[in-house]
Amino acid sequence: MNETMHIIAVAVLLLAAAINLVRRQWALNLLALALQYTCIFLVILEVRSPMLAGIKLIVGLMVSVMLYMTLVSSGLVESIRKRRRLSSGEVFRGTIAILLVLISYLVASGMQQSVFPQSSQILLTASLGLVFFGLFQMGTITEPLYLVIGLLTFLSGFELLYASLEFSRVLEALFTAVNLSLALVGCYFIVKDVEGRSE
Amino acid sequence: MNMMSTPTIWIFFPLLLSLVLSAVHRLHKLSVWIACLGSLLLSVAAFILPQNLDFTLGGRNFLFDDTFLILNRALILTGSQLKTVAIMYLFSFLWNIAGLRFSVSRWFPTVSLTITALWVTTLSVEPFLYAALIVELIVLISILLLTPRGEQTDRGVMRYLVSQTVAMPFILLSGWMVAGIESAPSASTLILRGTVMILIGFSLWLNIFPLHSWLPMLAEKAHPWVFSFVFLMQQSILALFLLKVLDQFAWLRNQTGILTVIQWAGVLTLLAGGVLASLQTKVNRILAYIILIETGYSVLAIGLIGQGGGEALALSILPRALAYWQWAYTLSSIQQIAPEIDGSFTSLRGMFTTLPFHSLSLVISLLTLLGLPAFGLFPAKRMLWNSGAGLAYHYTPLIGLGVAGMALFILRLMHTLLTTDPNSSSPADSINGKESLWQIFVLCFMTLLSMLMGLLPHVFLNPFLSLLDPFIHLLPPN
Repeated sequence: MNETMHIIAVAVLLLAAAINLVRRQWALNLLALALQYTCIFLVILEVRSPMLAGIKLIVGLMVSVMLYMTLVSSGLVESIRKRRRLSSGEVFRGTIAILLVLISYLVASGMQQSVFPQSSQILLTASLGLVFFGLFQMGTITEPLYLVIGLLTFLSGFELLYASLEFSRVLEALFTAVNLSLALVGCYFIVKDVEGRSE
Repeated sequence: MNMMSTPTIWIFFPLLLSLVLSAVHRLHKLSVWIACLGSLLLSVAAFILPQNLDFTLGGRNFLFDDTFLILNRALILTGSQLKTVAIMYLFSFLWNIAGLRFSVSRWFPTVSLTITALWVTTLSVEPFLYAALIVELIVLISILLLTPRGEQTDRGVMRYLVSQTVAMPFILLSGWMVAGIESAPSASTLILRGTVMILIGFSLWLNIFPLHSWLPMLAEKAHPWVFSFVFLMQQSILALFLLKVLDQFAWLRNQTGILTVIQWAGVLTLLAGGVLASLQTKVNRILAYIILIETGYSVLAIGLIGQGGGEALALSILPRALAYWQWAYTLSSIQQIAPEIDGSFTSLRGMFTTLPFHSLSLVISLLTLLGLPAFGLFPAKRMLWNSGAGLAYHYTPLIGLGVAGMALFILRLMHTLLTTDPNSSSPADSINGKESLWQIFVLCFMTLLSMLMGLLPHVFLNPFLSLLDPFIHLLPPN
């Protein structure tokens, strides 16, 4: 894949993460999560064979589908085409998202020189961006679904970084198990909250 | 591949057993008994298997392999680690056998066995820093027990999840960062980065002060029986894992000032736990502060490794577990006898007149944890107090303040349990249920056991010093 395609993949990846940070529309968020995993697949091709990169794509899509199906069965999904005005919170988070992308881009070049010389700057920008978006989402949100999306984003960022540093099949298997377990915990939180509301 | 390997027996067999248990989890009694029997067998087997893994039974000789290869990596469970494994399965047995009496999740037997097997895996996986991902898996599985269904997800459990997840990258990256660094000079930037990352990772894992804020929130909502089990395992194994990290990484243990940093982290954590405990008015939350204080002691023990801290850590593992067991059993039993008691001091007022043995048991388990002479934790705590005071005078007042805070809470609790308010009635005055003979027997037995361990430590506790055998670099054998 050439560099331009890589840059486009990273831009779409960060845009998807930003949508998850800014908007509170569950169907849209899960669509953005699936898009995020598709872009991770494209970015990770830089350091992994298509076969191994495909595992991350399949796991990511499975995670998104699991969460979506749980939301659908709990009757919590609102139409993706439903229009809502931007709230002041969303404007604030949007501004933060732009700042986070800028910070990731600026930090990535420094980190590449001093800490991670074997990782490319594009990959570092993507992974740091995801880590920052995830951390911000985890730190500011108390709603379980968004927290799980934040955790998944944070983990994908770290996985992306670690993939450029070390390869181990055991590690890949463990990351897969962690991602799927996290999605299960997310589904459990959603079901539990629905039960809690109805009691 | 030798199927008679230690990882097969103490990791894969219990994991397989938990799969079976998940299929029969609706038959609660059956699954509890299977989990109890499985845990007890695994614990006894780990206790009796010789360190050279050569076992003779009925004239036949069995030689066990200590390595299991998986995807080019290894699970290694040596003979010297089996005592730790035995302790872990003993905890699983103790919590399952009494868990049947309380209204904990039906998944408790399945999940507790899985968690125990995964904790064993953390001590056996090579490269050992991969254990970070296994700890994350344990956390995710524990969530199912810690948050009961039918209630909204509270902030405590979410913060717990976040804090443990954020810890994982620090541990994994530190391992990568300092791979093959042994030949570099000790003051190199990489070593410093690796050290800082490991310390941050462990601080998040062990909820070192001030990263403990989620602990009381979680303790308030979770069932005390589940909470005590999950955090006893986490605290005990992560302390041993920290010892393993120090043992395996020469660059880390030789780093100037590392042990002083660990000592300060321990002292401040136990100080914070003691001071915050003194202000509490809910016994449900106290378990969180107990865990915070005991984490402080464990970390201090690791910091004082050269002054007998390792021995103190090994001596404290069993009595601490039994004290947690007694506290959680008493609290769960009170909630079962009188559901109207919500754990607040107002609801406990005058409880001694209606539930005298439970009231005494609450106080005695706290006194054990305080380190009162004649109770099980006294020998370990005395060693730490003496070593701390011998090393630096400024530790003594801080540790003393922590102990005083806990003592103050115990006095307040005793006052609440013994006195009644003539102007208002408390739920404890009108308890319909009574203490059964069985409950009284269990509470008295645990008290007696704790006293026996305190009075005869050389009989009951000295065998646990062999928990330190695997750490040959940190604590070279004499």
